Amino acid sequence: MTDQAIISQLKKGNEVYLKHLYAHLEMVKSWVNNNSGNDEDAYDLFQEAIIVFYKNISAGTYEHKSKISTYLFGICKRQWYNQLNRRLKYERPAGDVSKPNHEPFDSFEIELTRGRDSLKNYINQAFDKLGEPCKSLLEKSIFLKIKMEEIAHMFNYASAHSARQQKLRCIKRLRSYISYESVIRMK
Amino acid sequence: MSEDLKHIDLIDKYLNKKLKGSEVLIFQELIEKDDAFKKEVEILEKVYEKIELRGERNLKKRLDVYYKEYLEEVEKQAKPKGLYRQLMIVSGIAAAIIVGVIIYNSFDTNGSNEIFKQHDPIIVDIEEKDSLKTNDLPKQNDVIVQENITKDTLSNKDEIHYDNTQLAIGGLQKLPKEFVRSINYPIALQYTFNGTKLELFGDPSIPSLQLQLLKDNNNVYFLSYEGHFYSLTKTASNIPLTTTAKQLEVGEPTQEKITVELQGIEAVSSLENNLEVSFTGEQLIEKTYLFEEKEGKLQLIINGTIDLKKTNVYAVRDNSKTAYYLLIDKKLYLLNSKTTTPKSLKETYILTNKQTQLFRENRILPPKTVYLIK
Repeated sequence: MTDQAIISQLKKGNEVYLKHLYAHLEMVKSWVNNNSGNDEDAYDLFQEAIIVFYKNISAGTYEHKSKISTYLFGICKRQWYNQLNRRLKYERPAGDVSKPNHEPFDSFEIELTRGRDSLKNYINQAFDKLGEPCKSLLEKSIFLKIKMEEIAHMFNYASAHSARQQKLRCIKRLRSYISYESVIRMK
Repeated sequence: MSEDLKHIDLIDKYLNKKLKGSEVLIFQELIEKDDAFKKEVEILEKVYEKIELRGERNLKKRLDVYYKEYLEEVEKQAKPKGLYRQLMIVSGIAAAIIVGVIIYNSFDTNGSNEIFKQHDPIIVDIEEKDSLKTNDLPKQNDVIVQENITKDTLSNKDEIHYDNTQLAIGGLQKLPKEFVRSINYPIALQYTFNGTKLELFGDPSIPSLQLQLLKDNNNVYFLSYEGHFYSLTKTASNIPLTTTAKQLEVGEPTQEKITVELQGIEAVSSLENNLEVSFTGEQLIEKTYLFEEKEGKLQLIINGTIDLKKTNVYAVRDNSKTAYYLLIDKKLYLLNSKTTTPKSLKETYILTNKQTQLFRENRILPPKTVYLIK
């Protein structure tokens, strides 16, 4: 399948065409394996790269200048170098066996994570109450940043304006399931 | 639009960085003066952030499914091919047996194995195609010229143990090192000669008119090429052409003719130890490649599937420059060793320049007249 055909299907919202991108995974695997990583690292990087690619396609910001494989490989490479740099930065030098000095932060971190998780669960529960088409519409508009013209086409609305009105009504409904106090408490 | 929806509209535009003109002023005023509006912004900011996280998490789950589906599809595509291949081998063997029986019966009528007295041996080649070959072996009286004595040269790719093809890191398959060759350009030609046939190794693009064959009164043969004279000794193994200091003058033509065969560069190339070639084996319409350097060694990775028996990679060294060529089943690809991200394999026209012409197929020139030396 050609790059152009994949892009055109993805633009139409046929997400399943993302599977064709996995033809380029082996190359990323080999590169990551040659650069201090393993297959699992490569898979995670590749997933991230596909998400960036798909979001750019959906938002209409993808410029089809290079091949998809080159584009994905470039993202993976950049991300992997960043990860390696981070690892180097935070890795203690070899032979340094002194007790780590950040225990108090650990418990603080756990508290923060708990707070974030409960807020996440709280908003997720509210989101689940929404039902369709609101859930899909909001995910496509807020996460994938698909333009309203496209959303109108996907959801069979008469115009971009109608789709936007529907989106605003969905947000209003979602908002009605959420209390300000709870959000502040869990923040 | 109700007041609520108007506010949501403003906040949505703010969160997507799409506020324009007067909307910016209205938004600023509201956030400064209206506490309820400020709270709404705070809440929706959190809500949008969580929707994004949720979207990403869900997409990752779907991608895992797509990956599994992709693997299943690749496996499915590979399976019929395997079955087909098995079927072909089985039918090939069956055909060979049937043909064998027919031939045996037709020749063994008087009790003796006449078939073994036939001038041309008959070979049933089930590996290549289910057909009879009668012309591929030398005839009884032919002088068998031993080719390609160069130690690390391949005379027959079937001799390579493909089972040894290593599975490299990341599931890549390595091209056996025997197929990764190097050569210095311009090439020093080599030859074999048996008195009636001259084989020149190293440049299959030499024009026939540039070659002239000569002999002196002592039946010593010479080759004239590009203004130089080379003495030819009878040899079954390929040896370099050596110039003779003598300036020879071409005399009368004789009745004698010599066949000249121009062979490719494989016989005059050597193993390239600084390059490793691997491929992913993915079934792709368009193959890509990239180079990377590891521990001082250049790695060429081809994303796609290649036929091991028909693939060679050549490093052609011309002074300090090295050009890399990939040759797959007579198709030539010039590779850019600076390519570190996947690039499509684009076929190079084999007649592009003198270097690419090195990869032309072997040629048999029309028999050449031998001239006497004055």
